[in-house]
Amino acid sequence: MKQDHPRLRELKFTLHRIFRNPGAIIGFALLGFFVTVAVFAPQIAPPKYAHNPYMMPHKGFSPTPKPPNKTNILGTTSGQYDIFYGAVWGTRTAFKIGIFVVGIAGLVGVFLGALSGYYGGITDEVLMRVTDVMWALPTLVLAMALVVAFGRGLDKVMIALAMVQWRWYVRVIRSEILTLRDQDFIQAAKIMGVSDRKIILHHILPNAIYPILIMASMDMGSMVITAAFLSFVGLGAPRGYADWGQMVALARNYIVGPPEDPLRFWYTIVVPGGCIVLFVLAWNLIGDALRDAFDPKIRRR
Amino acid sequence: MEKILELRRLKKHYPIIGGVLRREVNAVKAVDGVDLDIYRGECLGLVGESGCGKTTVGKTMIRLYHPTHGSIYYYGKNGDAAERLDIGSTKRSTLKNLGIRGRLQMVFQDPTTSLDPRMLIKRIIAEPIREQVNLTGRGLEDRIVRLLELVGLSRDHLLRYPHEFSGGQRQRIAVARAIATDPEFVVLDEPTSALDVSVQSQILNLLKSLQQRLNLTYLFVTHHLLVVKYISERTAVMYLGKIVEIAPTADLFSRAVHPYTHALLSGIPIPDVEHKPRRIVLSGDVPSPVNPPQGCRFHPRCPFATERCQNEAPSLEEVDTGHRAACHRKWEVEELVREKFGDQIR
Amino acid sequence: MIPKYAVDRGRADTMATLLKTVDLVTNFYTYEGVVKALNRISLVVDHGTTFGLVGESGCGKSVTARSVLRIVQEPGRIEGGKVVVYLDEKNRETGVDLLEQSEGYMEALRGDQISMIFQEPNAALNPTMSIGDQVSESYLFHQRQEMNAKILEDLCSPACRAFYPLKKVQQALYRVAVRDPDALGLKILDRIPLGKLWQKRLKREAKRRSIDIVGKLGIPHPERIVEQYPHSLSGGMKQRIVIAIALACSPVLLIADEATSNLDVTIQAQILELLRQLKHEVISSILLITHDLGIVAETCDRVAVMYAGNLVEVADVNDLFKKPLHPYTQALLEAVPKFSMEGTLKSIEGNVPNLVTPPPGCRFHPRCPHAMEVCTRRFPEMIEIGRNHRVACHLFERVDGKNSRA
Repeated sequence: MKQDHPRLRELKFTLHRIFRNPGAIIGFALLGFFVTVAVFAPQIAPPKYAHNPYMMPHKGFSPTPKPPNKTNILGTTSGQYDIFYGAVWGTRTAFKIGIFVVGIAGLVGVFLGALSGYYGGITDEVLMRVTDVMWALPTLVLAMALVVAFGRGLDKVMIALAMVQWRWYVRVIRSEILTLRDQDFIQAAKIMGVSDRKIILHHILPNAIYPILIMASMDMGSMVITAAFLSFVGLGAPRGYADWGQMVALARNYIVGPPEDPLRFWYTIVVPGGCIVLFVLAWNLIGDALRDAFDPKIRRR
Repeated sequence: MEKILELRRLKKHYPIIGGVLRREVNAVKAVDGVDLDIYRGECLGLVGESGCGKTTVGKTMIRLYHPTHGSIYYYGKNGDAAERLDIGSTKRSTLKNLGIRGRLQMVFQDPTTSLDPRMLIKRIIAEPIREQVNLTGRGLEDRIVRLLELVGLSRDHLLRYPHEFSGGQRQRIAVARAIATDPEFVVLDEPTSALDVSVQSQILNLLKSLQQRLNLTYLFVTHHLLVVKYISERTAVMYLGKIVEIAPTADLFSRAVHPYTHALLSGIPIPDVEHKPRRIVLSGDVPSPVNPPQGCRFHPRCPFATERCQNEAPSLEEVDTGHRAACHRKWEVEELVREKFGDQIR
Repeated sequence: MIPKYAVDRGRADTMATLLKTVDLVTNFYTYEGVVKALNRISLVVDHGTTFGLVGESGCGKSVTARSVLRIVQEPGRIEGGKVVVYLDEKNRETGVDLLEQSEGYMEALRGDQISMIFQEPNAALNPTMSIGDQVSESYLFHQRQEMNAKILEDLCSPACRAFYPLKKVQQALYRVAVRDPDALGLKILDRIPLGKLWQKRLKREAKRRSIDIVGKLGIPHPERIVEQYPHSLSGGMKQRIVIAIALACSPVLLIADEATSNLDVTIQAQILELLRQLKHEVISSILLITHDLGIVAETCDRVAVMYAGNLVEVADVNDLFKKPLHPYTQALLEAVPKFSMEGTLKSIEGNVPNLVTPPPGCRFHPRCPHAMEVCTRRFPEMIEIGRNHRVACHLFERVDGKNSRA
């Protein structure tokens, strides 16, 4: 009987396990939607300023938001920025933030954690103490400090978050490695004379990477929320930048409308807020599904 | 017979760090002074219960661990005393450069954890070969297939993951990996304990035939006395980090000297309804290797201990040709056992 | 709570049936397909005997034990047959089919009438509870009413020297507890702070019984052991505590699932000796599941051999070892290293079959040296040969069809 290549079989099995979970289907569907929007942003919402597509177009400077109409499909924010445009290009910004922060934090964290876990001893002590210093810094305080020092901007926020987020990955990978380090197959590799570097790269990391993947997928969502919060308090993206948090910031004064019609400006907050919620939900569902799929205790039934 | 390995006063202690200042307060004395000679081409059995240090001896011998004291002498092919090398104090990288790394290999107990679950079989077996020689492509694959065939598997099994095989097959793969570098000496750490009875005999027969075909020397570590009787020519018994008796296997089973050996032998469940066991049931549990008893380590559980045993540690002394035991009452033990427990049906 | 039948223990001459499984079928629904783990298993365990269930990994012996107690793990499901227990030795009419009882009935049964011990003592003991608490759990669950009644009696007797008002309060509380254990008042009392103090006598009684059973298992200084935590005990001791918990309420049947496989030889000897002593004092029968034929030869009265989800041979232990009938049993006996052995071990070629797609007909035929054509087509039924010796093999079917299907 002709069988598929084993890697293909493994992949099929993993996909089966992931998609057993209805949450996963919703999560991946949402993610697919966001990816499509991000990829086709120039087509869906043609940029007005060709050199800087992230600046939302605005006609006029009136502070009162306008409700959805023919020219502005989802209305405008305070300052007449087009909400639809902002939502579409904000997707790209969200992915940018997520990938940058998770990527940098993940790489740094895994590297340091792997060294710390595998070698133990003084390396472990030193690295762990350095990490402890990082743990003492609250994320938001550090971000604010950096912004205050270097000026506002989404890039500064991303750097600040990356600097702080790697500490989680160090812990996770270190604990995985401590478990794996004394396993027989690692000892067998040592007996065969395989160098430490190769053991870490080929044996340990492929086995230890699952919790990291799960964490990374959850972080994609939570980083976007943190960045959104910083933008909301005015520390992140500049005014008019296509960023969901920035758009919520613009809606600050209009969350509750005049007493006789409190929900008049619902679109200013619901649209960007809804985007954030759905984005984070998508990643959380995916993270949950991955965790269920990769849990070695229930994986192979 | 020429020697291949010689252990002199080998010790392996694991420090216990305690206190605020992280000092060494005590140590787990896993191996506490072992002298052993291993001859080329033989299969030496090493038996004992959990915590006696037999696995640690095996792993330290091939330099997976660094010995705390003592020497491990490796004799090159000519068996000349001048050619011996203390691999205990040689750096691991030097061992690799000298080519000795590939000559000392090991097969682990549990084939589920001794193979990387994320690697294909082809890669698992290729790994040790690639460390030694720069072989790739077709040549490498042919060599791997030859190894698989030696252990009773085939080319079809190359592109699969370990979890797709049964326990016995996985252990065969582990054996193939161990012999991939043409070793001289292989430590077999309970290779059949995790396997079913019917598979056990397959693997034991395989190991026996490989030993003859490839001229291997084995150290067979196990707690299963009947298996060791089947496969080894000489057997050593360990208790709490020291060797208490060593003899040709037939002698050990028929004319054991040390009381612990008697207890072990009488404890084996025999699959024979005629055999009515008269067990020497030892009192108490195996003491911890952190604080071994004074004098003879076995004295708290020994049914024949005297005052001398509490104060003075016995050394391994010869009782018969090739048969050594560490017991103050070695000449009387057989009589004592018969008195107290009646005639054992052997 | 099921009523506890008075079982007359210690008289092994009455070979009354204790447990009977009839055509038990259990399947596991996995990704790879349906694993037909148990294929119509029919066993009979008598009172006062040790019944050995032998086989290799994957043969279904653990699944059988778990099916009896209805603790089969997901994704397994018991799909057919009956599990009948006759707890009252004298009254044969009162057999109960466990597969038809409610979960509440089973909960009351487990630990009280039928107990089970497993391979890994570390996993069986809770590291955050003291030994005494863990053994008491069994008493508090199964013997609560009995203990309440006893305490009430003690309280009302003139010998009780407690402080008078306190005594009256306690008497009232225990009277309520005896009359109606699920009384709402007691439940509320348990929730308010310090309210649980009324149970102190109960807990003390449970602890007393725990010390008692631990001592009966030959553990020195039980009053000290009871205060300790599992991590300060050795493997052999832990397994003994596990046995103590299992035997706390004097069950009729003890199921031991590879209970000594992880232990050292000398400790295993101790545990087997212990079980042998207890068999006539505390328990009636033992269902011993193992892969070690040596243990079976020494401790069992009757043995069943399983292969790939089927029973292949059942016999008295002497008959099985002296005259093994089924080719698999014969091969097993030859594959085990023995004391007086010359030559090479015979091994059984091939591997245990995949239970999702087992071989047609007899599941052992691909590896059987005596396989015939009929073995590949028809499944062999159990046939009775001689005295109490059953085997499932076509080799023993007589052509005239005059064999008694057992």
